[in-house]
Amino acid sequence: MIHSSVLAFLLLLQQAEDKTKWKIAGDGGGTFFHPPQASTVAEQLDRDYMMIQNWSIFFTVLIFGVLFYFIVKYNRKSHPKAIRTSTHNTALELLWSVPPGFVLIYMFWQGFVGYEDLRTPPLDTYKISVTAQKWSWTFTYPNGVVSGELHLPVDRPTTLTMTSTDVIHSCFIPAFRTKMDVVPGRYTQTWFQPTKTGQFLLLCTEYCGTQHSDMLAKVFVHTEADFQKWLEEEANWLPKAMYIDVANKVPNPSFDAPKAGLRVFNSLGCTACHRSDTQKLIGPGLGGVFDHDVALADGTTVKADEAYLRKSIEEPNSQIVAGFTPQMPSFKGQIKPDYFDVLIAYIKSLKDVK
Amino acid sequence: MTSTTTTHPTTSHAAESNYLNASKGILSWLFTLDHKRIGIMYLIGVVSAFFLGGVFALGVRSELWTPGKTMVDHDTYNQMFTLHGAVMVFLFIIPGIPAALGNFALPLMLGAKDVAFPRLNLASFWLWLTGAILFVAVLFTTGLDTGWTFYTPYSTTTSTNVIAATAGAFILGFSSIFTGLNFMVTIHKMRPPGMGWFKLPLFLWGMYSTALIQVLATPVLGITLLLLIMERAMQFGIFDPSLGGDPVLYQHFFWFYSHPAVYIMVLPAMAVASELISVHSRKEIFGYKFIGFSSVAIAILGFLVWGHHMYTSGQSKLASVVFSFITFGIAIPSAIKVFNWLTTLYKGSIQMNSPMLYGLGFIWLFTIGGVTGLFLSTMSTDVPLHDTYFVVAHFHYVMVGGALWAFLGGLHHWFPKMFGKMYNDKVGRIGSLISFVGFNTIFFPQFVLGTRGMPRRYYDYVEEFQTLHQVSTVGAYILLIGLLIALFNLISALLSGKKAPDNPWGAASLEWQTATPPITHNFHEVPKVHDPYEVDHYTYDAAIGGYVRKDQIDGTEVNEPSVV
Repeated sequence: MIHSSVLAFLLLLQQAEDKTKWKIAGDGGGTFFHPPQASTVAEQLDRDYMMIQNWSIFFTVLIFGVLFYFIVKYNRKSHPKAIRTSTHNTALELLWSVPPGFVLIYMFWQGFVGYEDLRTPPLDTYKISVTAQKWSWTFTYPNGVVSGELHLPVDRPTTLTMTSTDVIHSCFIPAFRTKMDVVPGRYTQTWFQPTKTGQFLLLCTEYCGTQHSDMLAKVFVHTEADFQKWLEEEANWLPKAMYIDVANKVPNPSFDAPKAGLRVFNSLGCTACHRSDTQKLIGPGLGGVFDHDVALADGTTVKADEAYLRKSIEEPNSQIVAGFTPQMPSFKGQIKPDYFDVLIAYIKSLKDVK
Repeated sequence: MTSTTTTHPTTSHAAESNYLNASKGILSWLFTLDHKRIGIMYLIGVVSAFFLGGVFALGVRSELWTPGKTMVDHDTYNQMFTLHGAVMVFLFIIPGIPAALGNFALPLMLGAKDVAFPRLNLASFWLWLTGAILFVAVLFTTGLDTGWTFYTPYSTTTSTNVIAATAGAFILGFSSIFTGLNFMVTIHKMRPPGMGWFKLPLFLWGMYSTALIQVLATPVLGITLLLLIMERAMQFGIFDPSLGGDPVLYQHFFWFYSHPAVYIMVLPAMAVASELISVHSRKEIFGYKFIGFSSVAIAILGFLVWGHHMYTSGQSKLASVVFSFITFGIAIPSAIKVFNWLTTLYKGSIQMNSPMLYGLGFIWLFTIGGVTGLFLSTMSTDVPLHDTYFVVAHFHYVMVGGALWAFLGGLHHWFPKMFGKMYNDKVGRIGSLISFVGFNTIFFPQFVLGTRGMPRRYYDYVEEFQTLHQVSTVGAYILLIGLLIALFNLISALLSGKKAPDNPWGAASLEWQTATPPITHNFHEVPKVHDPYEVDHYTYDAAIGGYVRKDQIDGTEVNEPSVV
């Protein structure tokens, strides 16, 4: 289908897109200190921030002011002889520790209240599950759609339930002011309610190895109607492309499986480590692999047939290619059969790429 | 003592041997039991480590000049920031002030012959050297890319040389414990007659508080690193979830040591600042007991705040609340110190010399480091700032602006006593001011990078951050120039400096009441103890080029030990 080929082409372009051109918020905005406020908690957190900043400036100016005054007034040139003064004064000590103490308690309290709001989701939230792996994010929506980008409906509280398949990552969306570690062997949760449509950035903020700084994902906040449309399209693009009549599974004779596979390839974040030509990244380039002999790290050689390709995705560390280290997370059980088939078709289509 | 002779006390200074020339040859240094020589060896060691860590820092800052690749690839960058952090923390800041300056000054300040356990002191230095060699071995093998924090399960699965590095840190931990133990016992048992706890110089209150943390917290680091090594080598399954472990447990263990370790770095810095501010403003320290007890309070509270590193780790809300509250508690003793230093300056005669410029710079930088800590101890505002450049800027203001400035201030303060030579004060001041400008240029923009959402430990970044990164990188080279000026100034003083008087600053503590440089046994006789801060009893004598005690001029106390 033309529609899916165009989409695949667009995705191919996106694969080549330079991540440094991405933005914390697609349309800019925000202040000198902060990105735009795009969630319900952002405004409150920025208010807390400014409160602390004002107190900090007050105390810093006070301290620096006194320091400079004394340096000017009592330096050796203008004041060659020190004058003995009292060496202790308990009233003074109490004056400069107790009142600031109340300010600190106030800060603590504001932080506590703000944290409660930040960490306590409303009862009824839209739920997305998140899997983090070196060095990509996978978002799974309630209807089964899997995407490498985070799409959200505006004004709806959303919970992310997150886990990692390898090391600790952390999910940070600056425009929402939210951050939560993503820990292997555990589920952590974070929630937010976007207040603005637009495009934002999600960044990994727990160091996770070589491409830590490339572990970004785009966040799209849609109107509710657009979000439903996107969800619908994502759920059905493959069946629609594969079949002329989806209900009766009448195959589409002009279905281009490799192109559909490229879309799956991109959505799973494979591009973080694998190029479609023969150049190495973290993992081997996939060009010219299928149907050729592959030298393994243990000294043996295997023929890269379809079974080998499938096994390398489900149990990636069972047969490491010579010159590489076991880094890839297992995708076993994460890819539905039709999607797996087209993904394999895509890799097969690269067999003559040099 | 292995070192050889000391001449009889009655001979004049000019003909007298001192600890530097009492014996010759490299072995007389490497196997010395003299705390002063051990201090000097530590000084050479930690300054070398500092420049090694600095090379990595410049590599990191240069790479960040542009987004994407500027000079090196991802992996090299990750290794550079890891080794920068690990070398600076384990080899420079933690041993810096206590082991180098403390070793030299502590027994002298007590009027003692040496520390309580000279052999343990030498063992501590050798352990430091062994740890340092292991870190250098890491450099020449597969490197290290875990960050200085060694978070699991990354550190148990990466292919770099984690075992050598953690073994190095483990050994350095023992070096730190030995020094702490030694200092504690020395302060308890070797004070001269008449020196009660409240007649200790505040430097020693700081050293004592630091030693408390070194002795009580470092073993936990040792255990944690051993578990990590066993996990990597033998698949123990304590931290790695794929083996049934819990990675967040590692963070608890690690920060149980590493937060108190922050105070191992900054308490000695505060301790040096108390000396610098009083001596170089010619004023008795204000609020002695408040400064002294605030060090102890910080040392104790420092054990109870580690969870403030973990607000976003998934630890329970209740834990975060408790840790946040206690963290705010630490702000009070820290602020008390700053206010007392300021009040000390009141009506003083502030000598704007090299050590004092570092001391005043310390107050400035530490204040900024302190108040920016408030944003991070507040639970809500920490969430967006955690693991961003805001944190990087905050802890560099505390650890570099605090610990490094105090180290350099202390070095310029005690340098004449250590080597018997004066440096060029004007060049020293220029070095200090250039470093100050450079430091602020590096790290102030990083606060803004952090609030805007720039994560730390990033090789690559989105283009909107480039301008601030470039300002920061320019600052790094300015700081380099300032530090090189300071280094060359001190080295040229060693080679051709004027002879230093016994008491160039008019300080009243005991290390200034003996010869410069001191004799091997420090004092000919047990020195007479005065208030360590009665600096107004000292007056400048142009004939000597240094200070002498006033009552000596009057001829009332002719038996003072430091009479020339």
